[in-house]
Amino acid sequence: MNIKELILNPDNFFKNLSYREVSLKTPFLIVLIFSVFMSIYTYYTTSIMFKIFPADMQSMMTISMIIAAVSALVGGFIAWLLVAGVMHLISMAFSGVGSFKRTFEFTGYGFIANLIGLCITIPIGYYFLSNAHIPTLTMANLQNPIIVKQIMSSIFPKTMVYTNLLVGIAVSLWNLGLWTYGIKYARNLELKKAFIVALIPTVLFGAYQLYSVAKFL
Amino acid sequence: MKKSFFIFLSIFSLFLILNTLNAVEFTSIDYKNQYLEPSKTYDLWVVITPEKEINNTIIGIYPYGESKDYIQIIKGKDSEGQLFPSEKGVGHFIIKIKDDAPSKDYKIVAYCNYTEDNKQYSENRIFTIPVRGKPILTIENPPTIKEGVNTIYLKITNEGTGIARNIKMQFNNDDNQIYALSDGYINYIKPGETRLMEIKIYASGDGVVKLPYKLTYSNPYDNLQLTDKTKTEQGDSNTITYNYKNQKIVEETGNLVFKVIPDNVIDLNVINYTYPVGEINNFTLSIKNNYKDSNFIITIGNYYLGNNQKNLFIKHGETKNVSFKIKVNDMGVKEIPVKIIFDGNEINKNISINVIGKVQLVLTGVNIEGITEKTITGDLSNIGTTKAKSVLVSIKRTKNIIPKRPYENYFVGTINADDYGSFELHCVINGNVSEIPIVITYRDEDNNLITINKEIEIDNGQLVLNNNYKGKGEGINYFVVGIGLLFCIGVIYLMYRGFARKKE
Repeated sequence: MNIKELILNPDNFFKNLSYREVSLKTPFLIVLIFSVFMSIYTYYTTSIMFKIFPADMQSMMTISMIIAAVSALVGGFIAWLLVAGVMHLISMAFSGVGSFKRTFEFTGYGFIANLIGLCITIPIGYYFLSNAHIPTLTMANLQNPIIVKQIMSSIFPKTMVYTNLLVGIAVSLWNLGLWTYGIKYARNLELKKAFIVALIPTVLFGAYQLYSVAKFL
Repeated sequence: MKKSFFIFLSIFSLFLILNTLNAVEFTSIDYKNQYLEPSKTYDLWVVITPEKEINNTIIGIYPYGESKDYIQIIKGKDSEGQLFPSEKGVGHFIIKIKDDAPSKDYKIVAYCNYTEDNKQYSENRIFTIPVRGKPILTIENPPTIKEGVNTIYLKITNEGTGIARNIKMQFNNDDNQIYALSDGYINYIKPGETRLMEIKIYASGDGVVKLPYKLTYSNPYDNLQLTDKTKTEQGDSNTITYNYKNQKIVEETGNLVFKVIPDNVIDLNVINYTYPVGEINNFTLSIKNNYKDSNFIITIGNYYLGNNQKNLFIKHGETKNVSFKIKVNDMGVKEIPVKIIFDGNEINKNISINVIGKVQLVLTGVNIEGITEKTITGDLSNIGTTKAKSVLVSIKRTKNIIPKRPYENYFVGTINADDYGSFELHCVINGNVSEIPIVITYRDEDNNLITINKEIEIDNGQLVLNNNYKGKGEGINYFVVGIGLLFCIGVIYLMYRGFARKKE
């Protein structure tokens, strides 16, 4: 796999790849690394956030952190499946031709943008979260959304949120570009149609990601 | 035989009867008073009249029964020698009634030992000695009075053993410098008791004056005392007249001695008339000296803690304050006796202070539940010393705090000292509120409406969020944001480059 070509010339990358046999090995590896990183980052983030809970609730929070980490690990693959499935279904409307396996393969390469984006957001996140002062709240405080929001804003400062927002926008745009070329060659579509097919899951996936970040503002 | 035996018995009986008849008759006992009084010594005379000639006659007395404890015999035996028939023998004795003798009739035995025909005889008779207590009154008057009209209290003590009744004091008002405006009267004074007699007197001038008085009071019993005895002879007959005076009404005269000082020689005022009960307070007196430069010794008689006497030099016309620590544990109007001695003068004055309870309401066990709609529950505890009446707790309406019915206010009622009352309040919170203002109203002991404002803090504003990222605080770290922006621009450029190349 030529990562440089995937980044700098995705059109050529997917074009060349379309002549080869379908192989899920590389995209699986990309999604796996992305999911593992995401899982670790999620575990770390939740472990910081859950410090606001009283000591007697910490054992329960540990389980929640593990669930969140596993969800992030599995979520990467589910997102891969969903994006591929949605694009394959939409491409049918544009008379796309090609196997789902190929769509699934090319969609997986698109997650290289998310992986690179994560390589930026994780250090920034670690920088802020490792320096955060987390007060332990009482149950009365936890029931008060104003307090919880204040604490969350304190844990996730605006700098981090804005940076993640920019990175998220960039990753979504990059996803759009990669998935446009990916679906184009996976389903033999015109560039314009491929763009429309890629736009819908990108908007949905990107909007969800951006919402996740923007809610801390 | 029978007849001769009867005659014998008759003669023998007559002999026995004749032998048992007294040869000496106790004619009288005399102590020249109707009653004897405790703590006094009396002469006592016992008169006997023998029927026959008797020799070696000795007359004596001794107390009988309970009298042994209360009657002391000082001289209890008197020798009369030979007495012929009908010749009176008078024995003189001296007795003392002890101080603690209760008023009652005591018994005393008078006896007579004599010889008749060289045979020793003794006869006796029991007499009654009536002992009755007598009041003895002493009068103590304040040494100093001021010019003008004075209301003074004479301290009259009954140091005697009998109750004094209808004690009247009248004054001789011949002197223009001092005269009484009223007579004094007390209905009774028991033995050992001291009572105050109020009189009003007028004094003028400056110096020591005397007010003559006549004190009368009545004994509890008629008390006839022999004053004199007169004997008149009219031919063959002699008449003896005994004059007794009834001492039931006692009359005493004397003088009350006062030092008269100018009016308003000092102005004595208390700085604060109201004090909280059960607390240590400063009792401060203000003394203005209108007399002359003098050293004042001020003493308070009640409720003091520590030193109750202080010395103060005050110049003429000057006012100085003197403070004492006092603590009063009961509520109500209390009198503090103040004695001021200066330049040989003494002024006594009672200062009235009002000791009041204090209500102290504190919020305890306050709990706030809910997020936007708050339910406040808790107790109002009275840690003061008197009750708070009609206690009403309510939430003060503000822009962000809207009290909610039906618990916008809560009537707690009366909260006694060392007690508490629970309350519940509801309100709706808008925006960021850190404390809820509470208004507590109650009525004190004098029905004054008291309002207290308190704040119940809620947790919103209590968190300290001090995440200061290397001095950046809450500001934006543009370097970090720049990384994200650079990445974003890079991706956009990449997209543009890819799509532009495609068009070419």
